[in-house]
Formats: sequence, C-alpha cells, structure tokens
Amino acid sequence: MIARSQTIVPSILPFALVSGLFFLALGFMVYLQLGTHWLFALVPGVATIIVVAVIWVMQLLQAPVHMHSRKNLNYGFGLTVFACFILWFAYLQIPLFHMVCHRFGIHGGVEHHHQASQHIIDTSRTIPIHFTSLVMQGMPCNITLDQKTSHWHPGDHYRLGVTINNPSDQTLIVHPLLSASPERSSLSLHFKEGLPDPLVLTPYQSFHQSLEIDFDHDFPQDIKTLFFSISLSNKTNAENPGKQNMWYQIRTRYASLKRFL
Amino acid sequence: MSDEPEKGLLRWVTTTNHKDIGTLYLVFSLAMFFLSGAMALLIRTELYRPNLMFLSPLFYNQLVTSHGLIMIFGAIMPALAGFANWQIPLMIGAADMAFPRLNNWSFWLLPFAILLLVSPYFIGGPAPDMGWTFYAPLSTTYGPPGTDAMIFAIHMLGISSILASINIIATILNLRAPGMTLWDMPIFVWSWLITAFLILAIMPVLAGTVTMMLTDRHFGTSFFNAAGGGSPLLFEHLFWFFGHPEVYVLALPVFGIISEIIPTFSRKPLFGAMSMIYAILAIAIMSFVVWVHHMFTTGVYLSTQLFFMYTTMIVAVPTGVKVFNWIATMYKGAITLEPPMMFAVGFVFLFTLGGLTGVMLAIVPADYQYHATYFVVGHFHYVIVSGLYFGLVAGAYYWVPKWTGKMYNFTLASWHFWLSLISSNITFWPMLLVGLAGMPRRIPDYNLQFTDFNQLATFGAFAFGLSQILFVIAMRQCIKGHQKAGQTIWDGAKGLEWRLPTPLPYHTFSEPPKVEGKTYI
Repeated sequence: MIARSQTIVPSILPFALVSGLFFLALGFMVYLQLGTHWLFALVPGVATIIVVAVIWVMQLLQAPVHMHSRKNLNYGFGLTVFACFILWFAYLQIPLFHMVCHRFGIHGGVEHHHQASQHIIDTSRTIPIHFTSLVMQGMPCNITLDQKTSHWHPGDHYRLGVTINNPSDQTLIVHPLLSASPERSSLSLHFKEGLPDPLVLTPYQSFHQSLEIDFDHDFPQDIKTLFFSISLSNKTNAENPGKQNMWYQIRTRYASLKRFL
Repeated sequence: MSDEPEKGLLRWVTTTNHKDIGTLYLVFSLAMFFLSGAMALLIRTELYRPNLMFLSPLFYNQLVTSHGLIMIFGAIMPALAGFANWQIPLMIGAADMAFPRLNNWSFWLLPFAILLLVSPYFIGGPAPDMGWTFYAPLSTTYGPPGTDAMIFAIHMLGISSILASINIIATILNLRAPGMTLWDMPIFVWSWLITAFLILAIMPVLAGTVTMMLTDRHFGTSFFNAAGGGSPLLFEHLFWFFGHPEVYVLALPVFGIISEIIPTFSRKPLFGAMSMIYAILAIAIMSFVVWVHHMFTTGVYLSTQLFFMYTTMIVAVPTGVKVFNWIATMYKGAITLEPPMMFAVGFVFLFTLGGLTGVMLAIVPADYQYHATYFVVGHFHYVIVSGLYFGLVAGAYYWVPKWTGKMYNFTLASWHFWLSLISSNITFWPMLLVGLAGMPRRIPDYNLQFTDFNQLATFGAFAFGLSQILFVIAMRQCIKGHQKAGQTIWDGAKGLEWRLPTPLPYHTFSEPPKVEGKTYI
C-alpha cells in the first residue's frame, strides 16, 4: 500500500486499440450480414489490435518497474482471471439450468411436457368462474352476459352468451376486450371465434353472440378460481382527448378555486 | 511530467490524467443523457393521446430499446465512472489511477460502442426493437439485423466496465495514502470498491449471454432456441442474473455520494458509518439472489417464487438502514439547504418512494397484477431518474466548484431543483397510477381511459427535460463563469480533497499525504 508519484505520459495507444476493436466489430457485422469474405472483413481490425498490443507490451516491458506498479499488475492479473472465471460461470449456467429443469420438471424442461387435450374431462376439479363486464365511463351502451358465475371442469367445452346494446341515437364504434385473471389462465382458454373488433352498432341496434370456449385439460393446478371479463371501450371518444369526465372535474375544481381567490 | 495539460483535441484523445478522463466521462454522460432524453420525449409525445400519432410502432419500439440501453450504459454508468475517476484518487491521496492507460482505453470504448449501438438507425438496420432487456427469441430468432450491432456494442461496453472496475479496485487497494486503512476510507470510495467487484461478477455474464445470442443467430447453436433443445427462459435467467445487480451497480455509488453530502451540510459526522458500509455490502451480496422477482409470471414454482419474494424484501432492510442513517445524520444537525443538499434530500425522499414501489412489486400475487404494466415503468423511473439522477446532480453541485474553482449561481440551481422535483413527480406518478389501472408497457397506443394521466406525464416529461437546461447553464458557470469559489467551499466538508487548493491543480498528490487517524469514519 505505497502511493508514489507516477509518470503519467499521454498515449495514443488506448485510442488506437479501441479503433481496432471498432473495426473488428464492423468487420464482423459486414461478414455476418453482407457475406463478405472473412479475410477482408476481419483482418483490418485484428491487425490493428495486434500491432497496438505488441507496441503496448513492448513499452510496458521497457518501463521502469516500481514496487507499486508490480503490485498493480498483480491486482490487474488476478482480477482479469476472476472476470474470466465469471465468463466461464455464465456458460456453466446452461448445463446447471437444464439439470435443474430436468430434476424438478420446471420451465417445460425435458421429460416434462404439457399436452392440451379436449377429450378428457377432469371432473375431479371444479373451477368457479366469475363473469364481469365493464363499460367505459360515459359510453352510451350496455352489455349483458347470460350468466354471472359458473363452475367449469378442465377439458370441457362451454358457451357464454354476450349481448351488447346501443340504446342511443348515435352510431357507436365499440372495442370489446376479453381478459382473464389470473393472467396465466388465459393460456388455457381457447375461443372458437372472438367478438368482432371494432364492433359498429347503429342507433338502437343490439348485437348478440355466443362465445364458444374450450377449457384446457391441463389448466394449472394452483389456480383455484377464475375471473373472466369483457370490457367495452369507445373509439369515438378518443378523438376528443382531455374531455373525459375526470379531467373535466379536475379543471372545474381548479376553476372554482380561482374564482374564490 | 508537465504541470499543465496539453492544448487541443489531442489532449483528450491521449490523456492518461484521471481528472481529464473523469471530465470526458462526465461530458459524454451528459451528452448521452440529452440524446436518450430526446428519445424519451419522442416516446412521451407519441403517448400524449391514444391512437398512433406520428411514430410507427416499429420506430416506437426501437426508441424504447435505445432509450433504455443508452440511459443505463451511456448516461448513468459513465457519470458514476466520471465521479470515480475524479474523486477516488483525490479521496485516498493517490496521484492517479493504478492503470492510467487502461483508464483512457475504458473511456474511449464508450463513444465507439454507442456509435455502434445507434448505427442501425442509419445503416444496416432496422435497429433493435425488443426492449432494453432484449429477451430471446425476440432478439435471436426474430431479432432485426441491427441486433448484431447491439451485441457488439454491449461487448464493448462490457469490456469498458470490466477494465474500469479492475482499475478502481487496484487503485483503492494499492494506492491509498500511507496511514489510510480500508476502514479509514470515505464511504464514496467504499461504495465504489464494492460496486467494482459487483461489476466484475456480473458483466462477464452479460458478455457470455450476448455471445450466446450471436451464435444462436448466426452459427447454428440453440442456447435459447426451444426447437434445438435450448430454452428462452434460460436467457431470462442469465439476463436478470446480470440485470438486477446492475441496478445496484447504478445505485451504490450514488449512496456513496449522498453519504458524503448529507454529513457536510448537516455539520455532523455520518450516523452509523460502519453500518453504512455493511449495508452496502449486504445490498451487493443480496442482489445476487433476487433475480427471479423479474420472472414471477414465467411459471416458476410457487416455492421458488416465495424464496425470491422474501429475499427481495430482505434487500429493503439494509436499504432502510441507509435511509435511517441519512435521516439520523440530519437529525439535530445544523442543516443548510445549499443546492447539493437540496438534491440529496430530494434523493432520499424520491428513492425511498421508488424503493417502496419495488417492495410492492416483490409481492408475488400483486406482481401478477403489476407485471408488464406502466407501474413497473413508474417504479424504475422513480428509482433511476428521480432517485439516482438527483444523487448524481447533487454530486456535481457538490464537487465541481472544487474542481474548477468557479461557483454556480445558487438561485439558478435552486430553480433547477424545484422544477426537477415537481416535474419528475408529474411525469412518473401518473405512470404508477395508469399501471395500477392496467395500462401495459411498451405500446405506442393505449386504451382511452388512460388518456388524462398520459397527458399529464407527457407534460411533466417536457418540463423535466427543459429544466435540465438550467443544470447545463450552472455547469457552464462552473467552467466559464466569473464567480470564484473560495478555498473552503462547504464549511462542513471533510476529507483529503478539500485540503487541496481551489481549483485543483492538474497533478495532485505527487507526494502522497500522510493520513493519521480516522479522517472520515
């Protein structure tokens, strides 16, 4: 731990080495993407790096050695070896990862695969399903589902009736969004046909569709209940952003405060 | 060895002086901050209202990717390296870094790497568009040609970080002034020593991962290709094994900066200085066993989820120790609120807020709801922008007058603080709210009900971006201004660097100072 004054000499070598690395990277890209012969693509960068490295090492060997510079080199060498070990460790992760997957059967690893089946109905499991529908605030239409709750068996086939009404005297462009919670459960729900998007409803028009849903046999064991929702948003409002109720209310509140002041 | 630097461009290309290289890092970082910030403003402009406005979805995704990568690797990390280059030799009484040429090399890798990263916008594109996490198979099977440039850029950035870390560790362990033991070192130096080891332990993993990506893309391997026996989830594990400690690589040196500033302006020694070091060490170690909290929704076992939930929550304990110590340092202190202290207090407040939203995300059932929503975006922007950026600015306001011998205008810096504080909250708070309401991240369009808060966030982002011009003006005053900084700039400041003349000479500590007793801790 001895600090001594150092001979700090400016050098172009580091910049030249960086240039060599940059040329090497560019050459690699040219080789990979344009199919240029590797000799033409890689040699300029490699040659620059070799020349600079040789000069650098020669200068290092000629430089006077102080105790601290030798210790510095020892630290530098040790830490470089450590960095190389970590690089090796990154590659070691691959067999480790596959071994863990193999042993515990997680992440779809070998010897463990899911297979969806529509033929076997798992009557030993009954999943409560809650249906909800949402309509965006201020949107003049309503949505009705023909059931509020149900109990489904994995592997079975179900229907859900959806009715969307436009009681207003204007044409509505509606975006129906289907979602399931928890999110993973959506992987086990397969629709024969989705709701039309966008759904254009003329004044007083009503739209009905029966959704046909295949509920996977391998529905995750840890999901005990399921929420299924259909939301309606209205594209026509999107043309007037900033005029929704909430923003309007904030402005009104501020305006009244200003009058008070 | 000349006492004065050379003139002209060649000085900056060939320099091996730690102060010059520190300056290069900081200027480069500021430039990248504005470049990447401009990308953020384009993103926010697109999100001002629903529907696609003026960016194509592809270009939007490219911007999101570049914004993240440049901010992390081009702006925040170089800024930290800049402070390390300036301050570590000064704080430990060393003449320079242990490997001055290596220092130059590790800086100059950065501009070339960023050049490579943005090159697909101009040639060999399209640019990468899969987000800063560049998950496989989006970056392998489906990655655009520009992904190759990103891979090589990350290699160069990784080499740069590894070289800088080796240099910092060797400097700290080998070049301390006689009499200064490890326990006598300032907290900032301690934080960098731990951070440098952290970088050495994670950067090679990233380098290995992107190399696997490259061979998957071009040389027929199947590391991340399920069809060939690989696994895309392996990519996520490898990436987050690097990615989560990377967050602490960004945070720990800023903790060090804040731990220098708060005692100075509280006129008190740092409360629990030893516990501060142990807390930094604990955070660094714990950062290796939390990575799966980014992957709760990938189907990992419930028991695994619970393990990583608990470890993530445990990280909050040493972080809480630090926040407690900072507050306890201020308690009954003779506090004055000069700009560095304003930003430091702002950091403590906002970083704590960002950290608490992180604890929310660590809760497995809640994470299923928050995952891939704007809540996550709000969380990490609170941590990185409202938190770490404030810490970096605090460091600049604290140390730059000492370096240059010129003082900035306090009123201007105070305006900078208040505008940044208000506008950053206007930007990122609505992100938390729309995230809780279910707005997904990484989309150029969104559902109508999210309009109000997105407009607010866009307004805040522009205000935040514009208010950073005040910072540039303040820094310019430090370089070209007329108001001279005195010998004693901050009356509560302690440490070797404050004993040196103002402005700092080009070469310092040509003869090592003698340190007796515990100067800092």
